[in-house]
This record gives sequence, C-alpha cells and structure tokens, in this order.
Amino acid sequence: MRRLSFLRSVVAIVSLAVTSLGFVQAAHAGIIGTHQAVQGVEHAATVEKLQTLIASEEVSAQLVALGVDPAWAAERVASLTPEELASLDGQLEQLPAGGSLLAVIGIVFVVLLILEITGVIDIFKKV
Amino acid sequence: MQIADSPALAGVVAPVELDATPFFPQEALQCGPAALATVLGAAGVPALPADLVPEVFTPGLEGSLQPELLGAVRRRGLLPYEVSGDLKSLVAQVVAGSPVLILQNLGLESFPIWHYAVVVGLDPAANRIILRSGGEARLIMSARKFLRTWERADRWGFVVVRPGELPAAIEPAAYSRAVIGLESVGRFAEAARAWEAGLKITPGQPVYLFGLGNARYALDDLAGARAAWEHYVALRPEDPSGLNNLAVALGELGCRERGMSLAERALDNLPEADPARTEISRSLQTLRAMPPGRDAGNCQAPRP
Repeated sequence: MRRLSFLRSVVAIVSLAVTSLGFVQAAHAGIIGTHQAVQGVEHAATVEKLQTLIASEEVSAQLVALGVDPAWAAERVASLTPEELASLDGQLEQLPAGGSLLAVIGIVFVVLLILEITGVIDIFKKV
Repeated sequence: MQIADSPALAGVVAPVELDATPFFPQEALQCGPAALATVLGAAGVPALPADLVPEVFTPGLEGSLQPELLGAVRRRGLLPYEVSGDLKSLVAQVVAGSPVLILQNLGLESFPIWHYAVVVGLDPAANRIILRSGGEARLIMSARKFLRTWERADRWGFVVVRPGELPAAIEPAAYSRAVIGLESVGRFAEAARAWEAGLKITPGQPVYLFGLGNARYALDDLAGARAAWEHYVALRPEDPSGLNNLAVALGELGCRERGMSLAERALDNLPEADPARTEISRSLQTLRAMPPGRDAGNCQAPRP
C-alpha cells in the first residue's frame, strides 16, 4: 500500500476542496460504494478515497507537464475511475497513446519497410 | 480465426456495414478525437474531433490515452462498454448496430505505432473488416491482418452505450465495471438507469442490485435504495457491505432497531482486522445515536 506523507495528505485534502468534486460523491455517510464492495471491501473507503485523490492530483500534474491545459487536466482526471487513475499514475509515457502514422512516418516507415522486405512482418501487404 | 466463426454471424449471410456511422478524417495526430467523435456520433451524441482535442489529446505524448477516451464518454453521461479481448463480442456489437472503437498497434511489439480506428463493417464471406481509420472512410482490411494489429494492442476496444440500453452479448462483469465507472465519477442518474436496464434481463444479478441501491441512495431515493438492498440482502444474507448499506437506509427511514441488528450482523461476519469494520462500526454508532423507538410495521424485510 502507498505510504501517505503528511504533506501529500494535506495537498490531497486541499485539492478535495478545490478540484476533484467528482470523487467525493461516495462520501455519503456510512455507505459502501459498489466499487469497494466488488473489490471485496479490501480497503477502508477513507483510505481508498485519499489514494484516489492523490493519484488524481498527480496524474493531473503529469498531464499539465505534458502540455494539457490545467483546467482541462482537472476535468479529465475527474472522469477516470480509481483503477484508471492508479494505472496512469507515473506511467503516462509508457502507456499506449494512440496518435497516428502520419507524424512518425519518417524513420519508422523505413524500419518497417526493411522488416517488411526481409519478411519479418507484412503490414503493407494489400488485402 | 475467421470472423465467420463468430456465433453472432451465424445466419448473417450478407456483409454487415454500419453506413450511417459518421466519418471524420483524421488530422495530424488526432486519431483519438476522430475515432471518439465517430462512436459518439453513432450513439446519437454528436461531437466534433476539434472539440474533443482538449478533452483527450495529450500533446507531450503525441496521442490519446485509452482511459481518457473512456472518461470523455462518461463525461457525456454515456456508458463505455469494453469488449476487450473478445473477437466474438466485437463482432456481436457490429452485428447489433454499434461501431466499435479499437486500438491497434500498427508497428512492432518493440516499436509500437498506436492507432485508434472504428470497426464499422464485417464481410464474413471475404473474411474482411471495414474500418473508419485515419483519412479513410472505408478502410478494408483482412480479418487476419486486423487481428494481428489488434492482438498487439491487447485486443482493446469499446462501444458507447446509452444508459438504459444494453450492449450486445452482455457480460455481467464487464457491464458492472462500466456502470461502476459512471458511479465513481458521480453520474448517479445514468448509473441507476443502466443498473435497471441490466436487471430487466438479469433479475437478481447481485452486483446490479447493490449498485442500483447505491445510485438511488446518492439520488436521495431512500425507499428505492432500500428496495434494491433488501433484494440484495435476501440473496446474500451474510454479505457485510449489503447489510451495512441496508442498515444505513433503514436508520434514515425510521427503522433503527432492525438497522442496528443488521449492522451488528455485518460486524459479526467480518474478521477482526478487516478495514471495513471502521465504517460499519460508524454506521452502528450513528444508528445507536438515533432517538430510540419501536420500528414501524413496514420495517421488516419484504416477503419474497
């Protein structure tokens, strides 16, 4: 389990007030969320909420560092589930980010063409 | 694997093609926004790729991340239903009229080129797949080649479902995950509609019932929440989460006595070290602090 330093907790709690309104819904007193129940009630809801808040804060900062508009970054993380946030946190540059062929066509195209010609792959074959 | 092997295609002699699916030619690195606009439009919620760019595109990554496409769907109160890993499910969606947004790796394992496209058609006889992809409104690809590129992207894909409607070839676990996603981002009205739709075809599905209770509770429909959780607890009488939630709802409905007894039963069923003890104990304290009085007659469990 992630260790929560005091400072990060403070950051998370402040951010609770500022941004992540989407995550506080489950804070209805005493109710166990469906997500938590399906997980077999593994963690206390308060711990999970705190972890989710910290992850959302961190992913939001990582998105901003990658050029996303800060207002949109907050909005974007608010639409992710706790699992999705956990999977993104710290991993953004390792995960698939669908873009296109167009921008990378230079060197990659040459590499693929060589592989194609040597028979390693056959992605250019006409159907 | 042949696409014609898929059971959904049995009896489908003619090729399937969802002609009405919109097409947005991709600009620069924007296959994410273009593919997303395609499936949103097909679900009746039009969006332009340019408007989706700030929502899903990440400049530093030169692309769009998978969860962010799902998030953009949720933000519109729609359900992203993942068909990951399952060609049969993918085929079933297209046959049922829903285009599928998929991820492909057009490069190599070690040198990936990630690309989003939308499956809009199948030609079982020729074993071909038809895609809205990049600049092409009708990219025709052999099923073999499609599967190879999809395989290299862990066979990831999803359809956009309007809450209240159901995806084809529905799998309760995948459906639950999708609806829980709506709950966790606070779209309770849509989540309630989605759970109700699921219960219509699978009455008594425990996760659907539990989730429906949560969505209704969040919408301040206490009686509705109680009804869903009563049903759940009747099916799973010893489950601590269900007992706890029903106990809370009962307390708020003036049924303190029965609420306390359910919360106590929930605690009895939990091991000493279980973190959920804290919450359930708190529920019990809240119930105990309520003004004592006899439960009314309508506090008992409904007869099955």
